[in-house]
Amino acid sequence: MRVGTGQQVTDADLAARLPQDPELFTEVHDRYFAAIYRYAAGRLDAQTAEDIAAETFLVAFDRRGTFDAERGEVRVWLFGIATNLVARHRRREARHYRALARASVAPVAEGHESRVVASVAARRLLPQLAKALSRLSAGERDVLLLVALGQLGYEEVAAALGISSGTVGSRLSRARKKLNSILTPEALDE
Amino acid sequence: MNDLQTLRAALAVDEPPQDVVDRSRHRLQNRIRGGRVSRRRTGRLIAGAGLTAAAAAVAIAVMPAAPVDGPAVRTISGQEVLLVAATAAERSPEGSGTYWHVKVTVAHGVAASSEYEYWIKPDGQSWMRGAKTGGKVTPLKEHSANPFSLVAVDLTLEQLRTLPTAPDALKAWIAEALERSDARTSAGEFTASDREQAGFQSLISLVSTLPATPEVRATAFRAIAGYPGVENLGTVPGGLGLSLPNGERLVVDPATGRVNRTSVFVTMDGAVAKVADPAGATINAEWTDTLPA
Repeated sequence: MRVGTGQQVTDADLAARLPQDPELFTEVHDRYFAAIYRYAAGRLDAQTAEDIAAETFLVAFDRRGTFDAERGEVRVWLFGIATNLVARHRRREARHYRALARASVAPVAEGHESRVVASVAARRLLPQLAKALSRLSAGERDVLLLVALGQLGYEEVAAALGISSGTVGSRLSRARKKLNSILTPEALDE
Repeated sequence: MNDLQTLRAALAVDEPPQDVVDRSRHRLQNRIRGGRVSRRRTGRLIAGAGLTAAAAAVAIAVMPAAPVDGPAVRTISGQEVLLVAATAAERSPEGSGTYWHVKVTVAHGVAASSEYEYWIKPDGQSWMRGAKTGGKVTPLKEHSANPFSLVAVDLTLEQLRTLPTAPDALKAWIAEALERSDARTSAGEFTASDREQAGFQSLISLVSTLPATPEVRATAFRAIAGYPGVENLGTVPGGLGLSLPNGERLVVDPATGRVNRTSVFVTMDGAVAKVADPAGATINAEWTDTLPA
């Protein structure tokens, strides 16, 4: 990376330099691949998720000339691309949710002790959640999962999807209502 | 935990395994270095794609804007190459001269090549030079009233230049002309499938070896673009390689609309010559005032 020694390149700098400096794109990959992968893998089977995650960066690279740093961050732009790619795999998404809905034993998560406990409890909800998620509209599901999995804020979701933040708010609200009975605090208690 | 956190905990996935990361990074690096052409509004192509700046400008100028939620990455399709070439052909100035000169060069292995050249005057006089003439420019005895040939269909220059300038109309014209012709293959009369193939090869001759007007050449390119199975083979010497139905291949310079190589060409007398070399034959076709002695 062509930066001065000891200087950290901010995302904004990176975004500004992208059009002229294609090689910098591997830096973009290094920074964001994990986040994009985990988002995709939270929505689809592992193989498809891997393809989508990789494809996101190829698409982004090809379109780097159209990225406008004024309009938002690279990260948000990437989540938008990833979500569009997920949309191209509706059948696989549906299959994935059907498979999850049938699973009787949810996989155990690794991690910090207290998170493990919470995660195990949460994962027991997976079959019902999968069913409920598959019943959301695509728009509601995209918004909900960009927030829950991608951890984007309202404005960021709006930018990623090219919709108004008002629409983000109403879709998120509807989605949460529909999942409400499953995601109650009581459901986590044993 | 609120509901969103619970949802996240239920769905959440671990960090990607290192091999997944590496595979993806590798693909990206190939893309960065390999330089595939893409549709972008800035009009700049990735270095290494091999197209000239002029070609790039033409390419970007005629292609529709990239869709926002468009399909995942792809190169320019074969169809798009042909459409770009059509526009370039339309805009290319027509040459002028006394003779229509076509030179076909075929490689035989690495070291040898043979050339076949002819000159046609619109009044029907013609000359050729090649192996058969011992390298001398030789006038042909017969003056043809219709010296310009599509496959099995002979035209005057006037007829050639007034061919239809809409792809479907052009194809229909050629099909009709073939039906009326008395063309035969070694197996006998033309079958429907023979006529189809001859029609397609006629389109190829319109873009490569015939003095068609810029509009008709562009129309022929567009007609070819309408066939299924046209593939962009990428950058090759002379331009972009295209794989066409029936195993035919062309090399087109999208900046100028010139066809620089072809796997099949129509000879002076309307016969179809197929080139054995997979790289095809080099074509040089132009109007000239010079007839070598």
